Amino acid sequence: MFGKKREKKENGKPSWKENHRAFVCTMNGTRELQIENYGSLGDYDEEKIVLHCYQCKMVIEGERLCIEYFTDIDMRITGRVHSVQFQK
Amino acid sequence: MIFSILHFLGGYCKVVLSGGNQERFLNICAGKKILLWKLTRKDAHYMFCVSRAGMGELEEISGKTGCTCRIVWKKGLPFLFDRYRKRKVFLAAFLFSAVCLYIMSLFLWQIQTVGCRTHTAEEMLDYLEENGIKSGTRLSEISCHDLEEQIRRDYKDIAWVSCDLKGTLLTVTVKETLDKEAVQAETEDVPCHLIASRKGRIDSIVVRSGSAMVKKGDKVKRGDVLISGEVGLYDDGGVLTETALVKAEGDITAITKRKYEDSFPLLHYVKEYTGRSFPVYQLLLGEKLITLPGRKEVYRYYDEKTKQNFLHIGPQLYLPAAIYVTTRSECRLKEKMYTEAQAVREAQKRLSLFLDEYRAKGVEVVEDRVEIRCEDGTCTAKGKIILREAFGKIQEITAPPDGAAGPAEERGEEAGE
Repeated sequence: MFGKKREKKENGKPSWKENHRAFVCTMNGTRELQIENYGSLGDYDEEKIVLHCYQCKMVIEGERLCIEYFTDIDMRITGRVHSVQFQK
Repeated sequence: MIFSILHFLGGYCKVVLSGGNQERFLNICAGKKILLWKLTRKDAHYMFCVSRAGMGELEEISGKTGCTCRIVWKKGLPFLFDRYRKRKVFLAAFLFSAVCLYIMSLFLWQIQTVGCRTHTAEEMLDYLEENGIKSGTRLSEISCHDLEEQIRRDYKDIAWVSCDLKGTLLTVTVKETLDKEAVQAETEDVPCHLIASRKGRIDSIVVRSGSAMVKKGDKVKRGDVLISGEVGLYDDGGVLTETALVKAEGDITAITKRKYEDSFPLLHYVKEYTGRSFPVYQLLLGEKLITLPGRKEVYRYYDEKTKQNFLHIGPQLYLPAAIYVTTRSECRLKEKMYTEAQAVREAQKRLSLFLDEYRAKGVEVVEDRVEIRCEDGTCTAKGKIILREAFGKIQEITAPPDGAAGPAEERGEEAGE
């Protein structure tokens, strides 16, 4: 009640808190993978994709991996996914 | 699919990324909200598709990260327009022809008739023209329902009619039947005789109504009564009391003779085609025939064949234009003389065609006594043909004879009184 009021940012950008939520990973079988709030792309290969998520590192291994689309919010990976590993 | 259409409308291109810090490049693109799709890795390069709007910023990002972008191909409407920016006249002509095609599709350009036998196609077309339906009529002015009603009213011998308007083609399908009035007149019980239509010898006679005046083997001449419509009524004593008038009916066949005469010269001309020919193209626009320029040769003797092709898009969108292709083939006329055997064969062939016409009408050819002679440069076939055919024609009885009663109904009415 007596504390200072924090000014709300009016630039429309998401806050640090909003950005650092957990990623959301949706998998349709082993052929399609959709990831939201992934952070940034680390490495990309036809057999291995590394994503630097905010809380961990995600390594996707498979065959003929292809990034269908790639935006700042989400991305879709298609191909044959063999494994998804999470590393700190 | 929707995204493919949107990308095509907006324009996009395929880019090959090479150099260092390629992942950083991709991350910066994502951070700047530049959509990348179909991202693949080939050896040390990344390949992706980017929209035309995003393409502008790639140079700045590649400068920041030290990568190089190379555009492999560009696709989409903006690039298409840019490629053909010097072809404005082509675009204008394309739009003009599209507008013309649309305007032409509002009018009727072709009429087809199906099922016409007694009434020829030309007769039907003339009838339609009298009723305001011809090539060039607006489609909105044509009512198929009203046209069908009109045809049914005006043609008594058309049992069924259907008018179908599709595209610029009007198809009138009719189903003809016997003339109702003529059939009614035939089936009326009008007293009549059956008389001989020509000279002949009776082969068979079957009477259904009336009195037979001839029998098998009798020779009759034209006008002789074969079955009489006057039926005598006799009393018990065999005295004629009255004569009733009926409609004479029966099946009569007779043997008749027809004269046959045919001749042709032994010297005749045979066409030999040299193989040389050329086509003449003519364009029919509305009612104007325009001869198109082309190769022309002069032949002394030639055959001409003309083929007409109506221009149409698909099976129903006919245009007011047609192309006539006239092919002129050069030939040489060679004089030839029939030998006697050849002349006889030719004369027999002509006789056979003549007899086939009778057979097609259901007449039986009993014998042909035709003699073929070749003399003085002419082959002559002369003789008589013996036929067995249906015989008898109707002759109405106009004035009843004295003491005769009218048709049977009248006698019935009198008895009722």
